[in-house]
Amino acid sequence: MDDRPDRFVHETGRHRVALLETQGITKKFGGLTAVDHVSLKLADAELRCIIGPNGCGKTTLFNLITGHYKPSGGRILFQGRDITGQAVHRISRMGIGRKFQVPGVFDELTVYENIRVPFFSGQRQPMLMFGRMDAAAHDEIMANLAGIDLASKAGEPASNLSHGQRQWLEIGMVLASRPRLMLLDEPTAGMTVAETRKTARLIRRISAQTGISILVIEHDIGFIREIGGHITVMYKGAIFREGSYRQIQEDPAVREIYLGRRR
Amino acid sequence: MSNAAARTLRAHPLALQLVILAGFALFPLAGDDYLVVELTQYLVYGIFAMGLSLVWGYAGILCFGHAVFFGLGAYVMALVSKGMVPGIGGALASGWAAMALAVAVVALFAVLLGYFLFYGRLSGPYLGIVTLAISVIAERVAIKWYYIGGYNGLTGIPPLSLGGREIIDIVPMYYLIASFAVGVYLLCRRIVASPFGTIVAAVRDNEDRAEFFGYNTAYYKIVIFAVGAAVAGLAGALFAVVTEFVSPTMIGFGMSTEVLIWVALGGKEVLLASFLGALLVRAMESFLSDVLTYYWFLILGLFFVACVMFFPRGVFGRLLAARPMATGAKAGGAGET
Ligand SMILES: Nc1ncnc2c1ncn2[C@@H]1O[C@H](COP(=O)(O)OP(=O)(O)OP(=O)(O)O)[C@@H](O)[C@H]1O
Ligand SMILES: [Mg+2]
Repeated sequence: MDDRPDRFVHETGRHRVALLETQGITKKFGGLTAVDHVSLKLADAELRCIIGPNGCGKTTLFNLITGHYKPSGGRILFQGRDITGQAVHRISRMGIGRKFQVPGVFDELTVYENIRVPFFSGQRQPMLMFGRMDAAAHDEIMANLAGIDLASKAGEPASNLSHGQRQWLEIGMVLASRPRLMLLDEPTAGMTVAETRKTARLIRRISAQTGISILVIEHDIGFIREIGGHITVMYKGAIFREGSYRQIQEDPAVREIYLGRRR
Repeated sequence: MSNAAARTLRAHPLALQLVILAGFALFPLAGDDYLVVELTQYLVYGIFAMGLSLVWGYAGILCFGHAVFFGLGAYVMALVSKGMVPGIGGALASGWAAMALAVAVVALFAVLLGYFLFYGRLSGPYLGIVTLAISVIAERVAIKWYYIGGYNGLTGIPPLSLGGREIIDIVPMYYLIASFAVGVYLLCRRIVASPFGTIVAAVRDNEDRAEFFGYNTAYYKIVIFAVGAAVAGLAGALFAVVTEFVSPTMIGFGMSTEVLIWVALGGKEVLLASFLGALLVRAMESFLSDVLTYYWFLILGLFFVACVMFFPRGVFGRLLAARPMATGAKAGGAGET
């Protein structure tokens, strides 16, 4: 797991080893082109936001990357390997973790068990029926919970959590599966301003501490500003602009299609 | 039991389990052999119920044919220990070997069945209907098949022996079966508290999500299904020993629904609750069916409906439910009862 290429430096960009690359990826639903020739490169350890109006194809793009949908055209490369059209669980095992737009926590399980499920997905411990958790695994799970501020809720069923806490739990779950790339679909949907800010900081901290590449779909402007980094704007299925927060925010065309309308 | 006492016991699950264990250990000292005979049978039903609790309560697989495994275990036990299976004789036909064979045959059958059910992605009502059909067919086959006793079943199953002594007296028999019940309980509890058990619960809760984490969900369902079936098969084999008798009713639809009722009434999400559910219903039936004759079934039906409506977690489910894990709990105990 530790053969990562050097950190990609965005501005200089000589050493362009992309962790994820989509080449002209396209998805058609009948007459509708939901994702239209999207070519995107995400570097190792990069944190990037994707924004765009409702229905512009952001979630569909994620579904293509994770193998939930088969593309109508184009290729997807992960760590230089072509993963186009592979099965969902195989892509997941290669190290692409995803937080869905609708929180996918296990409601009937405790918060602790919710982390335990992805924690063992890497087969780090033989999945024997009589297997016990060693203390190190337990500590790691508790550290994960501490990171998402849910350690005190470890024993409660996940159904007891607030909306914001459920979103954090799911981020913790994705993290526990030790991905190399995290896809987060609207992690702050329905959160208060304070929760949104906390989530942005959490994601920034994960990015800085783990070096996991992160692709975040978001609508919330405050969140995008807090995250900083590179932004990709999608519109009608295609990439419309790429740039820094300032560039995007000042771009009149973007304001027209997106920012302006939401103010 | 007073509320305060119930609360105290709930806060100390180990104490509660020990109280229950002590109750069973001391029961024969009361000296009523008739009741000991009855209770021995109920314990076997309790083991059977724990098998279904694994499958239904923990894995969420609503199986309408669990008696197929119970009955199959009983028939294999009977046929092998009576030396009726060509090619299997001598030491292999001894009681213990027959019992091991019964459990193995049932587990294997369940793996095959599970393979078709779960890789075929059957779930919900379809799974229920298929398992129901299998239990009806199994009963028909047992009734029609002359060699295995047909309608009358098989009698004269030889007793087990331990240390050169045959276990015939009821009190040693009771303790033998009780030991099996404790052993099965500890084994099952260990399984549900293991990482494997957590994955099984996750598959029950949200199969797609579990699959997305890279788990082969069908595999987990097959394994837990086979374990639950093997437990039922063991119960069937023990039943054959205890009653010295097997019959087609043990394998059929009626028995399958009965075990569903015990487990639902007791509390399917909790092993011990399911176990006690079997004992409660059987004990009530034995006392009340004398008094109420066939009204008993009406009472049981009403009781069942009331339970489903007012105690969805069963009569014992809440009392015996695993206490939420304390955050500082030692690693090995995490999530255990
Ligand atoms: N399975 C599907 N079948 C048909 N059309 C689909 C399917 N999935 C998505 N679409 C359509 O594709 C377009 C893009 O949808 P998508 O969910 O990707 O948008 P989005 O950018 O994630 O929007 P939002 O911000 O609302 O989440 C929409 O018009 C949607 O109706
Ligand atoms: Mg979306």
